[in-house]
Amino acid sequence: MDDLETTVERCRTGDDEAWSALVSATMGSIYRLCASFAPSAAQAEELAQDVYLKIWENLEQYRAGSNFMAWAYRVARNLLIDAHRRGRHERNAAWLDPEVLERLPGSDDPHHQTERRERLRLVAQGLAQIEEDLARLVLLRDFAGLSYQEMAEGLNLPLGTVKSRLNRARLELATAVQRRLKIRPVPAGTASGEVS
Amino acid sequence: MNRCDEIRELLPAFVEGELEPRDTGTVTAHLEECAACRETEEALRLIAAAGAGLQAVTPPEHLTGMITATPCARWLGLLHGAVDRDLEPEVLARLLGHLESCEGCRRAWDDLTLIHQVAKALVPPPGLEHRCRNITGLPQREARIFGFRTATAAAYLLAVLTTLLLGNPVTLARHESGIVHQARSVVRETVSTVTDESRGELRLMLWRTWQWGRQQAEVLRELVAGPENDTTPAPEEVPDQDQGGRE
Repeated sequence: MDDLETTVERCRTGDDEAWSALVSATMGSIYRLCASFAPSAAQAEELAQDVYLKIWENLEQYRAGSNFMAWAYRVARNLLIDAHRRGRHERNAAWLDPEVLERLPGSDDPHHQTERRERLRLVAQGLAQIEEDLARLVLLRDFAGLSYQEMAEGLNLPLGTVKSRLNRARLELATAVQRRLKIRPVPAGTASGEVS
Repeated sequence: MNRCDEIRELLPAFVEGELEPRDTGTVTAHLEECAACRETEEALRLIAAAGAGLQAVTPPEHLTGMITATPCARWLGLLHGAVDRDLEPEVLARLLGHLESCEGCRRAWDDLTLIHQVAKALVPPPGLEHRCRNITGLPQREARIFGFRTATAAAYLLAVLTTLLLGNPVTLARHESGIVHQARSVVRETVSTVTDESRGELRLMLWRTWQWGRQQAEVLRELVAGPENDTTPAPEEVPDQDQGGRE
């Protein structure tokens, strides 16, 4: 964390090498965030570029001791929300894009790949049925991998509120997924969601 | 809240493994005997598995390069902000520091400020709008007293009042009730009275018009003939004058 803060400090002085180091250090998390919200793999890349531009333009607002991912989400919140709305409107998600799925570990195994794709498709359909705000909470926590603390800071909400809302969001999503599972029953022994 | 509702509230934390051991035991015991809650648990595990799978995704290799390869492209956004005087002092200081060392961005800055100045100077001269309006011949916009909305609202109001006072016009027309008969006969009588009364007056008016027309024709004939000492050429002489003019 100290390293990141030093890097940010150097970026503020216009140090291009520091900027490259900051991008390399945070790319994995920022890309996951973008891939969680964008409607396609190509748009996830574009979104990542826009998010980094926002980060770069607002570097002065970053305060030492803040959580970088929480701050990044706050800075790029509108971009991410717009991308998420586009995805809901188009009924699409970057994480259903074969280009993204191929980069996941274990993508060589066709059986595993099919199972994963079906699982993601069920969740995508469920997410489209719940409220937008609740869907975003699930994406932030379960897909982008933000911690509760990061979410609380990023959303500017108390930790308890984040937890209770996320609880509600997950239960509503589970109900929507259950409904889908009843429409397309899962074969016995594949509780993880494999659908033929 | 029944037992299943209580357990359902604990299920997300149970799936994440964040429950206290005592609550974990309670939930596990309930799940063994409740199929509905087991289904919810399975759905929650499916969601968790889907998300966890995606968390392992790696960004495309070229993406970092794309973001870091063209440093000056990033400064362009700040240049625009500086031209619009929309930058915080610290950000402006960062930009100025870069401009000192980067000739390309300095040129971009010069171009942007020039464009900004030109754009500011591009204001329509006074009176142009008025002249353009006159060229097109369009009348100057006048304030409307009754707009489309007012007219529509009035029409609706009239329709509602008619329906309230007389009943539904369509129903009344279909089933000719006493009111309609009564109204029809009153209208018919009134029209025939008015017609009879106006017929005589109309004849009188026509006779007077004919008389007046005759008188006017007499006057006109006298004027055309003219008095004996009048020097104005007679209508028959006009063609001769015309012929002389042509010669």
